[in-house]
Amino acid sequence: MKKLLIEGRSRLLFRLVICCVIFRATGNLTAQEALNQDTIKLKEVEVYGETEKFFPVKIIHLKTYESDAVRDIGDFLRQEPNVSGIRKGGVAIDPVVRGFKYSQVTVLLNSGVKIEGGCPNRMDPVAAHVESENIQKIEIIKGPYVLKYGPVLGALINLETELPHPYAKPEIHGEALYGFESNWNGQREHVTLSGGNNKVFFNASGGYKGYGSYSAGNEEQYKTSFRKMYGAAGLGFMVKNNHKIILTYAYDQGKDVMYPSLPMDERLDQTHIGSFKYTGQHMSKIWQSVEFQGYFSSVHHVMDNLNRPASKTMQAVTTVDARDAGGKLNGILQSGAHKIQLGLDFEHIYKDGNKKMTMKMVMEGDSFTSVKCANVWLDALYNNLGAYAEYQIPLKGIDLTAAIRLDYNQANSSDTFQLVNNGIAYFDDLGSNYFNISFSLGIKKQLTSYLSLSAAFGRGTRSPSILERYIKLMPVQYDSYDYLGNPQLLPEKNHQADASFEFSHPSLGALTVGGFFSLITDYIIGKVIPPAVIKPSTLGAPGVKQFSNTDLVYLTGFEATYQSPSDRKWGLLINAAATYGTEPEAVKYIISGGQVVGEETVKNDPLPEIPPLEGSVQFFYKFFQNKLIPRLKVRLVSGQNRVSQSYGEPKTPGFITAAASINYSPCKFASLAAGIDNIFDTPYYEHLNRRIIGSTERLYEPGRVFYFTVILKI
Amino acid sequence: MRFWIRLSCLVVLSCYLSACKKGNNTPPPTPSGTIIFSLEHQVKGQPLTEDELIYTNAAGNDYLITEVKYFISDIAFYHNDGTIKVIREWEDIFYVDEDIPETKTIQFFDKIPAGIYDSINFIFGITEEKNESFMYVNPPEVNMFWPEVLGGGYHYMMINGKWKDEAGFITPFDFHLGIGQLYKGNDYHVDSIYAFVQNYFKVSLPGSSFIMEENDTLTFRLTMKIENWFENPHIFDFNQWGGAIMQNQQAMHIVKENGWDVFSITHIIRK
Repeated sequence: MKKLLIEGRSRLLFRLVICCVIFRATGNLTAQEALNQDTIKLKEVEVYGETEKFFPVKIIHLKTYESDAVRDIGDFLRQEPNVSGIRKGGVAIDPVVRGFKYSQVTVLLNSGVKIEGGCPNRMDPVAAHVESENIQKIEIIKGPYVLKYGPVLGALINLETELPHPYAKPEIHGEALYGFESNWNGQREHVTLSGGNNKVFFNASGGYKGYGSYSAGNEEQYKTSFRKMYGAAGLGFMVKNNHKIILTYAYDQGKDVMYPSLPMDERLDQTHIGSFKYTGQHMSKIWQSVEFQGYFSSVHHVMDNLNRPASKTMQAVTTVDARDAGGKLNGILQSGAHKIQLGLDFEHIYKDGNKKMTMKMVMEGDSFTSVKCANVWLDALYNNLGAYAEYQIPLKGIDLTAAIRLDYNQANSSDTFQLVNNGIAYFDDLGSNYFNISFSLGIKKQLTSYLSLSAAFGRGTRSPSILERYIKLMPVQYDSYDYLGNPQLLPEKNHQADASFEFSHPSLGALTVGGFFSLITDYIIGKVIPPAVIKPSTLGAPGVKQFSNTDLVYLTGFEATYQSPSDRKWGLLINAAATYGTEPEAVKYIISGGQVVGEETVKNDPLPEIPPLEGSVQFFYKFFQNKLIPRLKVRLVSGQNRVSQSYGEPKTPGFITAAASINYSPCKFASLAAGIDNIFDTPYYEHLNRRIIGSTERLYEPGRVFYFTVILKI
Repeated sequence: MRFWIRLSCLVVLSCYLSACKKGNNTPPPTPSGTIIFSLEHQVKGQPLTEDELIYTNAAGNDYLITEVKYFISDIAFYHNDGTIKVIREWEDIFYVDEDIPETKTIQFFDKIPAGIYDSINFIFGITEEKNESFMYVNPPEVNMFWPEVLGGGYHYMMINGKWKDEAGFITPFDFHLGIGQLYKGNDYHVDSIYAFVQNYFKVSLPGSSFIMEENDTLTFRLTMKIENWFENPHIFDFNQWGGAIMQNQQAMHIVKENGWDVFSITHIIRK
């Protein structure tokens, strides 16, 4: 009843705001004001100019997806070439970029704010703590080439949220969004207010999402329901000309989020994110800008198996608290054509959590209950201090960029757990310190007016995460094994080269083709520990694996994109991408009669969790001066037959899906979108989708979904 | 020219050193073979037939068996040179269940060095050091859980069935072995437990000497004679001890002492 009341209130509030927005929109603004507003509202942004970069970067603006049926960022990012996602439930899809996953992909907020997810099973990857409605821009950088955001191994995803910005004169704006999706009866509601003047400015937003269980094309319904509530507020000041301070706070809550592919469901996940940012520009002739950013984020995560049949015999509840705090000082100096960016950053992570298992047994007519509490992490700490420098200069017609980054990384834990067996220390010495060097070098050469060539080489070094160092017996990876951390893991090093050419012609469109090769040393994988040493503690886990360094693995792949000229009424976007990963020597365990009876070495074993070759074709046409735009998208994904033998990874069949949508914007204050995803109700699953727990069946993607989105703006 | 000569010498020397190092790190493989245990449950020389009231024990109880499941661990092979090969490289505790055929054939991950072996023994149940509560979370082993208040860990054995009691009623029995409890007074309430008793025991297999040759696969056919649990040296009478003994240390002690001769080797097959 309480839940219904809260939801009812939320909807009432939402409708009131919509009424205010409509009243404000129709009542007060003249066309000229609106025009002025638009002009002024362009806050200062970092203009990337994609063609200026020597490394593969993709920038996606809110406009691209705000009308689509987007439940979370990870889901949306899967549309990008060579970006995939690991689905475990209806939401919180964990991004995989060019085969790099988990901590190999750095995800951060507003160019510097970091979040440490609480869940060991990655129910809450970083992107799950930020709602898509609050994001203005997503930047995907493939490769270890941008070193100013912290240590990066394989890729970086920077989520830029809407920050308050100054206005030339006092203004106030509002926006309201309502979206509905059939199939899983999903609703999302979002409101935003922003305003201020040239001295003080603010924004605030909030929303609610509620989705039920979806049915896949195979007519199977999966328990994937979830509820999310969130809010954010920001306040900014112009202290003097060119000196700006912005304070932000955001809250995000997930409740009763079901994960059919994990042994537990998320009961509660509460995230608080606070940040402070000072920006000073044009400080002197040489000092172009100085920026200081500080942040704090905390996550409280509770998950359990109370909705699972297994809870009748054994109940398990895990609670984790994770805190991340840090800061960054960044300065840009420019003298003539020479541009230098210098900076220092620091990150501190604290993580603590426990698992409570309760076993109920009825024996000889009597009922007995046994309880065991074990820590998942115990006061685990991770500190990283980094310094970086980036130098840019045009040299004989070639744009040259060189960057270096030095990191000192330290971690420790208060664990009393030790695992030493037959003289082998599996989990013993807890402290570790590393000094890491990363660097990159890139060039871009304009060969002709329409053709440019880019090349980059870099080394990215990533210290092991707090999970890889100290996790204790939780199924945190692709297979169902319980994982044990390894405090003495070495940092992973990625040596990567990228090359691409871009042909951009005003009447022919733009074609970009690029490839990469990546050699990763001290690659972190799971190695099985014999059950005689340690046994799993999670129901369904066939054994225990420990994070370990393997000698080397390599990844290679390509991306190709064609985009039609933007001045045409019609538009065509074609993408194709693939990644191939190989482990030169992998260990495979021979299983007979359910028992491990031996092991063998597999040569050139494909790495697990690498998405297959895929392509997409998107076509649209702009009617009535861009007011009505129908769009059709077809996605073709080949089967994945390159699967890891050592992991016992199953093959995945290929599939084709189609989606259609129509966007109608009758005026600048309102837009309406409607569409169908998976038009033919195709039963399919992505290669990275996890298995349904307790079975070999994979979690299918949603079947046909009809959706509409209404957006009102003033 | 000098430079190239020096460089060549350096390369040759490095190759030599690395080759030496590799040679030193890779010991020659020890000649060894594989051992498989194939377990069978019998009553009076015949394979067990479940759910049929066709057996009579030494006390004269007519009984039937519905389930037989147990753990054996720390299997040790005694070489005649005095060394002992204990099975523990991969798994050291093995679960056997009459109703799960794959558990009745155990192929050991450990390779057994070639040589002459005098005997084989193992622990029936799980030693105190290893028998930890919650160490099994998956079926079927998890179903052997022994309540924490009664000593924790896991049952060593569950033989479940029914016997015809003195009144002629078919009454269920749970012939279970695990950690025993000592109670103050005559009360069996858990609050009156003052000590626990480890009831696991070592089984020495009679006639278990063998010769292992390189690349041999030896299959030992092990038989559990179920009727032996009820006799020698003690006659176990269901009418005296009742159907539930997991809170009765005296009864479990009798079972433990009867267990010394329930296992035997019937065949050794060499491949």
